[in-house]
Amino acid sequence: MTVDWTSPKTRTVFGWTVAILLIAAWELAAVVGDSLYFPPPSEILREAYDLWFSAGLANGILTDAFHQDVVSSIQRLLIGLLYAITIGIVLGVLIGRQRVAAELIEPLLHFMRALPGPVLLPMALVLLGTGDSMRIALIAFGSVWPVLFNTYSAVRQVPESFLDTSIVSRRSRASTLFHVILPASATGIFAGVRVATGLGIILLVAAELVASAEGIGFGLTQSQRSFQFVEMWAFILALSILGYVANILLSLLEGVVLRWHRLYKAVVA
Amino acid sequence: MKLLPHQGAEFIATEVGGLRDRNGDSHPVSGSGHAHAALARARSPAQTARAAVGCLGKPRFLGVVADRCSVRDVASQLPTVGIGRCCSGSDVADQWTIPWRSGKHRWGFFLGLGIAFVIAVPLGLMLGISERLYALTSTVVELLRPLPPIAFVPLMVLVAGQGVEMKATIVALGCVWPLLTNTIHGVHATEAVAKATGESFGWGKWTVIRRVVWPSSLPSVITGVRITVSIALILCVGAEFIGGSTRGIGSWLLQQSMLPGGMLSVTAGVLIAGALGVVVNAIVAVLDRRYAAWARRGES
Repeated sequence: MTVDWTSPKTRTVFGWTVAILLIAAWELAAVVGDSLYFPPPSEILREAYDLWFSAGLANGILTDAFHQDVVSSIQRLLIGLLYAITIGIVLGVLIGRQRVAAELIEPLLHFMRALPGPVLLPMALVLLGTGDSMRIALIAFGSVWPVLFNTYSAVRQVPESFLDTSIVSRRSRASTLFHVILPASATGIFAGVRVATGLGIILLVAAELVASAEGIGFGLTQSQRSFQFVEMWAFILALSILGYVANILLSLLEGVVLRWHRLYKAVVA
Repeated sequence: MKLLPHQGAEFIATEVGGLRDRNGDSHPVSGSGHAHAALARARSPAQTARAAVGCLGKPRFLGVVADRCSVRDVASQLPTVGIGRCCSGSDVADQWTIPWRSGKHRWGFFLGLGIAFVIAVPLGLMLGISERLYALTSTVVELLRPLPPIAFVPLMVLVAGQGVEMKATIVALGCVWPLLTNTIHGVHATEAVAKATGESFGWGKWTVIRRVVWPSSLPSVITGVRITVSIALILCVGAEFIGGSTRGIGSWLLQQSMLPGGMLSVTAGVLIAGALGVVVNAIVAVLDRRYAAWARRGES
């Protein structure tokens, strides 16, 4: 029997089979090996359920711990990223359209982009204290640079012919911005948003480490320090799901916003 | 916040004159005037963001938190404990060498990158060449790729301690995926005609891989490396914070921030970390120009 390894269908079937087999192997190895640090996946799932989803149907399934641990983290991440994306795109377009400003600012931009975000944490602690605003500001400030830089370089790479066409067809400046420049640079902007999201999660965990009493990052380190390994794995699972869901949401959004781009590529190629 | 005695004199001479008197205490009036100016500037992004929150179907909790920690809070705090007050240029320069000497930071970084490279590139070549292997593993890769590597820091601290091993593992964990996907992508992008030409010369499978597939996927691999080095630096510092390492620039910064007058060293450390990033990026840019520029020549 020959199998067509390139078809998406076999890829899904075999891919998931391998994934499930690997998880089963982990379960088996954990049960047999009885390691303290690597509990079996079933136990992790049960712990996650007990922690966050065991309030019962009457109380809306989610426990208080879920609101404390997960919801507060997601709020911080979303708000921080919202600031980062908004500011990044607005500034990126402004700088990208002003050649002089771009030449002046570019070295600084390179420096800020190369600066590893978490080193800003001590500075944020001193400048902004230990409150929630510090965490959000850190996430926003740390993840604004990929968005800003990508927007800026994407806007600069918009073909002159697009802009000339837009002038010839007497579009207003606003219309040029929203119908020509932004769509043409959307792929670059999305790449930046993707990087920013990953960075935001790292910064979130780092920021929840100090002077925090709630959040996934806090729970993660707290359970490690109190040697609750299964609980720690539950937090790792939560963080992984957060990263995974963020990735899926971005892909969906990208699919909607960049639909024209795929069509365009298909026509050109 | 008082200035340390040895910083005082020069500080007043070099920094914004009007803000503080000879003792280094800031005048509340001028301080808040500064705050108002910053506030006026900050108002519009805050409103933009709030409007954007509103667009998302007005989830109330988001609005409440956005109100509670708006840019306004941040901006009003900045001038009162401002960066400008805590450090002047030359004082920062005095602190330059300390974080540089303080750390094994670099070893975790390079080791992790090396491990990631050694694992990801051959694996990527293999998965790229063999359709069968790719079909079997792509789901697992897609499942593992978006996991935030930082989540595994506490686990690695338990398993490998707080030292270089832990950092290197975390860095490797985060860097394997971009390298792997870029290598696979590079192999897939190899021109079929080029491969067929190689085969028609009578070259064996390995010769084709060595002389056609590898060179043509190299630009994509280098793109992977370029993405990876910044991730590696971020992860390295992040792992030091979260793992509570005793050495390295990240832990050094965290210690300094808790000392009185530590702002100076913190600023210096941040500058050094940034400079490190710039240097590493520059090195990769040179590699890129040497080995990958040909791939883009045709495009433009």
